[in-house]
Amino acid sequence: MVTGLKDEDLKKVYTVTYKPNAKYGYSAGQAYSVFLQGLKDGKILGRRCNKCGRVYVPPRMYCEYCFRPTDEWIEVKDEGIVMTAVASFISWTRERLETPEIVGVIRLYPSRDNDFVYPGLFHRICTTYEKVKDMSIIGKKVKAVWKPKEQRVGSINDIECFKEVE
Amino acid sequence: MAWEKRGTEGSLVTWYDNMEVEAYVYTAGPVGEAFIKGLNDKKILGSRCPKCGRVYVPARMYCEYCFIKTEDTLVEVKGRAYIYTYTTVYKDHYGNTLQTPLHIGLIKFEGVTGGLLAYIDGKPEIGKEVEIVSYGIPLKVKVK
Amino acid sequence: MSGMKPNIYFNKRVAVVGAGLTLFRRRIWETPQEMSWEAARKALDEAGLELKDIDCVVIGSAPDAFDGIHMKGEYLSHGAGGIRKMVSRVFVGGATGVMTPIAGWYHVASGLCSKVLVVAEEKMSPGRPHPQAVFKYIWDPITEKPLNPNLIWIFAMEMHRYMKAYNIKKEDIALVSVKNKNNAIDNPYAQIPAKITVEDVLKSEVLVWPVQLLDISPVSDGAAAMVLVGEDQARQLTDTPVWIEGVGWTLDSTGWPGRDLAYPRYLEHAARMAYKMAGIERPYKEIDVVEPYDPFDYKELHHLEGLMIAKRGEAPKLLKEGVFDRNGDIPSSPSGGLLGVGNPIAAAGLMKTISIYWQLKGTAGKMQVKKPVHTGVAQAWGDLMQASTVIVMRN
Repeated sequence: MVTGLKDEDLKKVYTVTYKPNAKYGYSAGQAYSVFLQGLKDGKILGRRCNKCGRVYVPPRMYCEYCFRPTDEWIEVKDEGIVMTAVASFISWTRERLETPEIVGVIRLYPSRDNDFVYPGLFHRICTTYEKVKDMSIIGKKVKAVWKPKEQRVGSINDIECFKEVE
Repeated sequence: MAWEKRGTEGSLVTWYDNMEVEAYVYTAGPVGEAFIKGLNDKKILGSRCPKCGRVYVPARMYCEYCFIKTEDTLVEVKGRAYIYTYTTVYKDHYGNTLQTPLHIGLIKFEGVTGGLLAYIDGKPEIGKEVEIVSYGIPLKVKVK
Repeated sequence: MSGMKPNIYFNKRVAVVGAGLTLFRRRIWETPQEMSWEAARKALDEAGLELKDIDCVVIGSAPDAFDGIHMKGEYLSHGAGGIRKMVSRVFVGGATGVMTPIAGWYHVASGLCSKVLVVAEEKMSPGRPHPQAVFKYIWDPITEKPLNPNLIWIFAMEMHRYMKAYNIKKEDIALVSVKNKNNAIDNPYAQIPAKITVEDVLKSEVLVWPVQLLDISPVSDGAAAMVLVGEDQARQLTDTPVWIEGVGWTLDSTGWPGRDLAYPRYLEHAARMAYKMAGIERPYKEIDVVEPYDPFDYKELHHLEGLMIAKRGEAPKLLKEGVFDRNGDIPSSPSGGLLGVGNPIAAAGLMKTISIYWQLKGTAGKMQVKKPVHTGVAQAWGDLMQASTVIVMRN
């Protein structure tokens, strides 16, 4: 029968500790390279499949439904609808955060309310914990808050967050 | 079909990142622990299968052939230790040339299933008997 | 996904004849190989078989980065009984635990092997500072990871979308956690059985609103194993074989920010495939007991809807009425689920499959549901809210 250990038991048993030191260089490829440059220029770029009309944001060079190359670059609006939003009180290493970080999914325009698939971004949302808690932020229209042009580097973080449009 | 390629190798973006896991802490389990204690006492311990009689080094909880638990008491391995195979390493993980090339070998023991990795002192030769200079993981051995 | 045409004509009928589990614990001293061995040995013992009788081995394990050992399938193989046999490893994220017996099923159903040992293992405890640090590497490295996400974010996002779309309250969802942790009290393998109240869930630490500490399954180590055989063998080995009558699995797009999260359509497709094979037309009437994947409490409800056991948005209502209690009309997670038993990823899904097997065999002990059962379903789910695996069994 296997033996359960408590945290403090780890000091009593033999352990081997190893720190991985893996560094990666991910190629952004054809679609993301252009997308990242677009962000640097203050634009959100997507790819459209002219067969089914779907717009991919983040962009893809192929349509995963029609399984053919997407046809053209289009600039989508930096505005959209909050589909979901959450407030995180823990960091990615599970440390406690005093002020919650609010993130969610934004369905960007052009798109329609009943679309199952749409151009969408996962990003921070500048709003209050209360509006997340009572779900009132979900369904609201938001717009990207861009970093100043000189601070943009071609990263998803060139957008500070999406903020409610009054 | 046309596949629009805007980027060429020079203009494509590469995104750099690290794997930020702080560490992995591995446990050896009860049998592994007994084996490690054996090394500390300058002993090579193996676990015996009560059915087929195989002795495993490093010691383990089960016989992978008979798929039953090995005997609770580990046995000390006293058979001749020899170089089963070896290699000579000239560069480290990052490609830097080592000042002194390193001999690394798989040391087996007569009558035992498995073996242990070791740094080898002296001129290694397959099949040659070795003397264990220091007990640990890896072992340090000297060609006899 | 619309053009799915599974071939439902297979060579052999497949039965489950044995299963085994290790304890599920936050941290287990034994190595992943030894955990696998213990589960596999127990499964062989229950089947009355020895390793020499086994033709093929299927191993299921989630990312290597949890145990911290690359090529985990190969590493586990001698503990899983794989030496000198046909061994393969399957991995479809959190859905792996049910994919593993499905892969075992097609090894036998195709006629390739007559006896298969299926083993799933996960050791989440080695990673520091927390397994969360490992989960970060499942996100898109360029468009998602730079936002420093933790895993709970995506599930919190799906949960909130589900709550908003169908007007579901947190207290209704919390009932799942109350039910499952309570069911786990009768499960001898369980890590965190507990008698708790809805109030306890709502007062627990807020991790990522709307997810709180008691909404979520724990970090676990554990292993599970099962023996599958063809019909001819099954009749010789036991008087009470449990048949695998339907399997289904689907993967939806990784582009989760670009599709609606309120309804798990990936699961509906997988369920339809499995039901078609098993001849189930009215799942809410024909399924007697179910183990939907419950790493989070809302997920059990979400999955009961994707499995078409409840209508969209109506699972919370049925839960409140007691339909999913162990003594209810359609007992759900009678084992205690991931919320009560623990969540060593791949092993957790196989544990759910084993729970249904034991229910149908009538050997679930104190976990046994009150009503007589004939048809059971286990299901798992994973990746970026995109994969689902479904298995239908009958006695």
